[in-house]
Amino acid sequence: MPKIRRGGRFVLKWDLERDSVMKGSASRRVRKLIVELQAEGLL
Amino acid sequence: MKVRSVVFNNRRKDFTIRLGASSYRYPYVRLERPPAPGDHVVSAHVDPEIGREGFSYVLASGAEGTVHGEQVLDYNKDPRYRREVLLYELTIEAQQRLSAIPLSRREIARRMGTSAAQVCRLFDQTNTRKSVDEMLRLLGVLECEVQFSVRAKSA
Repeated sequence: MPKIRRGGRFVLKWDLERDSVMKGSASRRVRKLIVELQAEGLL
Repeated sequence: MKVRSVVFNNRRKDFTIRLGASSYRYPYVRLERPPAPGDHVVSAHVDPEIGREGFSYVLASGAEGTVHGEQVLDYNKDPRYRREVLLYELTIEAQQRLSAIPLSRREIARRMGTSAAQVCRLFDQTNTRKSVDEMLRLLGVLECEVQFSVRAKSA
C-alpha cells in the first residue's frame, strides 16, 4: 500500500488491491498519475 | 509514525527500529532482497525521502532497499496498526454491502438512531477516527454478520 508524498509531506495512502484511497485525498492529477504508473507496470 | 532510529545486527540478522515510543525488531528474511549467505548489511539510516517513516539499508554487495514503518508494525502485529487495517476493511465491506441492498443512507441513519452526516462519516474509508463498535453497529443495520476468529499461531 504505497504512500504518496510531496516535498516530504504526506499526500495520500493508496490501496492497490481495491484501487481506493486509504488515507488523505486524491486529486484528479494524482489519480491520473496512479493510472499511468499502473499502466507502465510500475505499481 | 516517524522512525526515530534504526540499528542493524548482522549476528542476529535483524534491525531494531524505534518507532515513536516503542522499539520493534525486523528480521532480514522479511526484506524485499534479503542478504544472501556471505552478504551482510553495512549501513542503515532513517530515510528522509519517505518522510522519516521508514529506513533504508545498504548491503555489502551494493544492493539497497527500503523498509516502511508500516511493514515493521505489520510484522510485529502492532494493535494500533491492526485496528486501522480492521476499520478500513470493515468500511470497504460496508460500502460494498450498501451498493448491494436497497437502503438509503437516511434510512440507515434512522435505523441506527444517528444523523445522516454520522453515517457518511462511517462510510468514509479514509476516516480512521471512528470506532470498531460503530462499524459493527452499521454492519448489523446492513444485515451483515461479522465473525472474528482466534486461533493458535502456526509454528
